[in-house]
Amino acid sequence: LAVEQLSPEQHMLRDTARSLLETECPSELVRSCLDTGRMARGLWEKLGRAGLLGIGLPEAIGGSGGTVIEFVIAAGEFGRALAPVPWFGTALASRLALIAPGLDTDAVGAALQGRSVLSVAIPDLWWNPLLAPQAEVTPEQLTVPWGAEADHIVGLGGTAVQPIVSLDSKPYQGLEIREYPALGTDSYSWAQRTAQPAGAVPVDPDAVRTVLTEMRVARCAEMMAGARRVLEIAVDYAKERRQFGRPIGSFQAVKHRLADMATDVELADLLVWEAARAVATGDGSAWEEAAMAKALSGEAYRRVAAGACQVLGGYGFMLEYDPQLYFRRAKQAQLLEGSSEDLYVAIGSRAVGYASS
Amino acid sequence: VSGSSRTPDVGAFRERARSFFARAVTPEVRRELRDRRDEHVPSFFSRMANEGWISMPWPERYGGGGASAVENAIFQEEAAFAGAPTLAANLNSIIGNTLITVGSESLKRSFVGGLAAGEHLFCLGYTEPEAGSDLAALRTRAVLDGDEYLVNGAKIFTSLAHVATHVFLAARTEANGERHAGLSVLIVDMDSPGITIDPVWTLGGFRTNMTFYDNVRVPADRIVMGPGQGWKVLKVALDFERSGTLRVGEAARLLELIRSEVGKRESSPPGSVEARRYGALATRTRAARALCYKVARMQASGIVPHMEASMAKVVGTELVQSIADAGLDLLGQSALASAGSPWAPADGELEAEYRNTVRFSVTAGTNEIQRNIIAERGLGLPRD
Repeated sequence: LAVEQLSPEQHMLRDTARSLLETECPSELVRSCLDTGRMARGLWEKLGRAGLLGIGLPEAIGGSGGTVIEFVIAAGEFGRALAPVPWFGTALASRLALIAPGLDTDAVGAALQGRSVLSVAIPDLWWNPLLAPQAEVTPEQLTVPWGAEADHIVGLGGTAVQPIVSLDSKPYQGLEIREYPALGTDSYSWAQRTAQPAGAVPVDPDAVRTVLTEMRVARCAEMMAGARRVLEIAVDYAKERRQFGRPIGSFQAVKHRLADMATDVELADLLVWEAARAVATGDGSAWEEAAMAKALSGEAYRRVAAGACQVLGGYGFMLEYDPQLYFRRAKQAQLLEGSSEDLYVAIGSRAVGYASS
Repeated sequence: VSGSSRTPDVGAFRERARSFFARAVTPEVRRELRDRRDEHVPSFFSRMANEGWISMPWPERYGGGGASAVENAIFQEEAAFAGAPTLAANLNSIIGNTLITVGSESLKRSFVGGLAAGEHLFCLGYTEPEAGSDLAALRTRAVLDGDEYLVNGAKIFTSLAHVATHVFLAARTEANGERHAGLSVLIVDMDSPGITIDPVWTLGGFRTNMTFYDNVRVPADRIVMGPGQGWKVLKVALDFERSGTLRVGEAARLLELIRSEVGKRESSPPGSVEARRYGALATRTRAARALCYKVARMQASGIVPHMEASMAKVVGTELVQSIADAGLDLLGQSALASAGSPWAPADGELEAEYRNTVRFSVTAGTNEIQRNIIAERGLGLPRD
């Protein structure tokens, strides 16, 4: 499956999401959320009402139905618009809650309709394919997406062979959340877990892996759509901007950089769609394909965003212009859910016979 | 090389190609390839012809196998993965397809059958010392004299000229024609009086040639498409030359060599540094492969993939260079040893490829020209 093989319905979903976000999420909104550190509440409610938050989740619990492919399409549109809303944390929390038998899913339905916010407390190690099966994954420090905005937090803990999932509501017990300024456009809180929440339930490790893989692919789709958008900004600028009496896009130094940026996007995007297909068909290689896609698309997004900042010259680092927003977001997304560096080590480790201790 | 071919027919084709190379690339073929140092093994070339691989991508009504662009991409990938010497067969295949597409009935009758059977062996006479990327600046002249052309000039990088029966020669026929408008393509017998061939040795250890044309007489009906049509002919031929999977197959082969040699490394066990470098290159190889098959799918559905083919060329060629470089870095000093040295890992193959891969970002359209194409045709940036 490649993007050119989407069905008419899938194209329609993309167009609908894009036009809603173009109207409701201009870059001024992203910029003001970055200033205040607060999510865009009004946008969140509109996305919920439009059914864009529950894509890929069953209607019975308040989702909008559809497969991972539709979910990936929606994620791309959030990424293109840099939507300053907790779509990722809510989607991940919902999926974890659904695989935890006996966990109350009422909170999920409300969040998917934009009436509340879910977040997750997941030690970063869970995203590393080299995670040792028996290691207890309970570090003290956690990053929680839009943590200060969340009404409920789903936690993932235990070990890789016996994971546990919990659902915590405000005021949280054993989880202390603090906010600090940081690089990215999405707000991430620092949290400290001092005790496991009551009512944590054991979950199937394979189901956890499937959820994490699906979310990783969604993150990839978000990144590649952001990369495409910031590439468009740079190409348009290079056609318009004149220096030395001609458009700067006619100079080979600029042209070749843009050609490399376009190639980065094309290459990584192909891996992302391959990984999405693997997830959709339940392919056994999905975990590895998603890891490769995440590593490469993180690298591509960063390079393309940095390239756009360079092509726009002085406008590339002015807060009033958009490339800086993508530059921030690219690095943030590259490091979340397994950095390119960690994933490359994991991908190569089996081939060269390296085992982390 | 695995995966990607998800439809059964394409999978069967891959099996056929793989089993052919497993049988045909014998230790003797490898030895001869190394000893001859000209990218050509005559017995292997004949075998490809006899088993129908040269005409495999041609239409069936010309005796071809009717293989699709995707199947051709698979074939090239498997050839490279096996390290097969397919240069001569590929040139014949491209010329045959070009003649089938734009050649006269008489040229088709004279050459198509012989190209498929390996009775002819064609080399390409395009590049000149003063006309590389700017091919339209070429100076070799072909002047009509009765019913013959009189050819004078010099060509460089005429690979296989010393074993070829014919050269597919680009020359200027219209003295006052504009750069592109004055070009024509002629089919010239290599044993014509007035042709001399000088070897040129390259960094990769392979021979190519300079060829000189001194009042060489060529029958006028050996012109392809007619006088002044040369640029069109070259574009048709170049479009058949655009399979990026050769480099991807080679990347996979080199990664496999590195993987097996790093495992034998005694001085220090591989760590996260090695894993990181290998993991990044394996990832990029997978992405490059996806891009090449996208190009092939576009070709198969009748779309000319200008931007994507140029991207595949840049990515594939720079990828094999990075992999060869990584191979030497990861294996350390011992990897400096060339073939024949008792210390050479993989019998010097990585060292040889480190030298050989340098040319790929230059040949078949430099990567700078490819980046111009991506920027201008793909992104719509203004020409300079």
